[in-house]
Amino acid sequence: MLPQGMQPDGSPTPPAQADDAALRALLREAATPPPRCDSAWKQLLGIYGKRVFGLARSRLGGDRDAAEDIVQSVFSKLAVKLRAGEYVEEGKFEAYLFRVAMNRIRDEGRRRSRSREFVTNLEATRNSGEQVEPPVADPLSGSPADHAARRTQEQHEHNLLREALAQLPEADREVIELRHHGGMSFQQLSLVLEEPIGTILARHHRALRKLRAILDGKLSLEQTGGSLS
Amino acid sequence: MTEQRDHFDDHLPEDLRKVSAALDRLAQADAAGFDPAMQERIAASLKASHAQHQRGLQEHHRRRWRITPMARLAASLLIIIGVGAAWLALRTTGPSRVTSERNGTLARGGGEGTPTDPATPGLAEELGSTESTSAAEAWASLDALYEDDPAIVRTASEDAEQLWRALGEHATNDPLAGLFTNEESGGAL
Repeated sequence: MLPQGMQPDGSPTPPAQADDAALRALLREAATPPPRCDSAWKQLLGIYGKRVFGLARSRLGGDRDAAEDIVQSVFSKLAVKLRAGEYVEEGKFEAYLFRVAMNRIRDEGRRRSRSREFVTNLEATRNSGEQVEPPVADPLSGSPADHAARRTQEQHEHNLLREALAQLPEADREVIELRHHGGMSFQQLSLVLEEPIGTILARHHRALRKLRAILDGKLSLEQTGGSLS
Repeated sequence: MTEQRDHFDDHLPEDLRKVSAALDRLAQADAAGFDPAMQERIAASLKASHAQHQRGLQEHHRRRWRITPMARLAASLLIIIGVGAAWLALRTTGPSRVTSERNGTLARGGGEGTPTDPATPGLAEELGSTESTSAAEAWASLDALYEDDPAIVRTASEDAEQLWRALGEHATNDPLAGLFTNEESGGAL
């Protein structure tokens, strides 16, 4: 029989499949002192770490190290809350976790904006190995050169999107990143942002429209060969 | 990345659906940086931070109950002041002083004095108390008053005589009078 929260390949069960009872058991185990809790934390990191990391990385302009620090900080805070009995699972764990993450990311953003590190870092990312050059079409499909061209094109697309996201108003950007990087449903978004679900739906739709307009202003999608298609 | 996602995106217009799909690809690329090595590092740091937190808690408890030199000094001073205040209170309102006052005298040195019996002037003399001497003098003057006033002395002796007489009559009429008869004293009481 497989242990709770594990798939046949040994990877953690995705949240959609992990039922409330299993999550409660996992959180109870995580609240125990080491080494008993080690396995529970590995599972929690496996389930949520990637999503929190992706969200933090996107919010912090692609800074991998800062995103790792954020994940560590968020899970450390979670560990303290769980061990102190200050968090009681009532079916809103994911919303709670991402709210903690968003607060931590906002703090980091404020710190960076004070030191102007954020802007510098974004520029450094833009000018680093992640090329922003437009893709060059390669007639030899499937060759290493084609693979490299595709990769370059992807990086170009990512950089364009990052720049476009940076131009969105803060509230719109939060919805977009929680939805796509955090992988959250609108119901969960409504819990995290403490807004009615209708407001969240409308904001998401509006944010996508703004993003589309920004991207259109930056380059013609048709000219890039429909890279955003 | 989209396990929890609902299917609202399916109903988006075509152009927005493309943007949404591009955002999903960006999210996947960003999350790809979270590799197993990073996961291990974070798990290890969680373990370390727990140990540090425990140490911090222990240190906090230790500091909380540690008596600092200043606190020790303050406690000593409080004890000294308390004992002094109690001693003073006893000295000024203690029972020995009350007793002394009731006896009409105060021993020298205050409060602790032995009650001085005016009938024992020797003790008063021994203590050398002026108050005791005064009391003894008062008793002496009272005695002198009784001795000097013949009316008072007479009245007292007349009263005693009347009393003896009444007792004798009572004994004579009483059937149990024999019990009170004293042969040696000549019959009646």
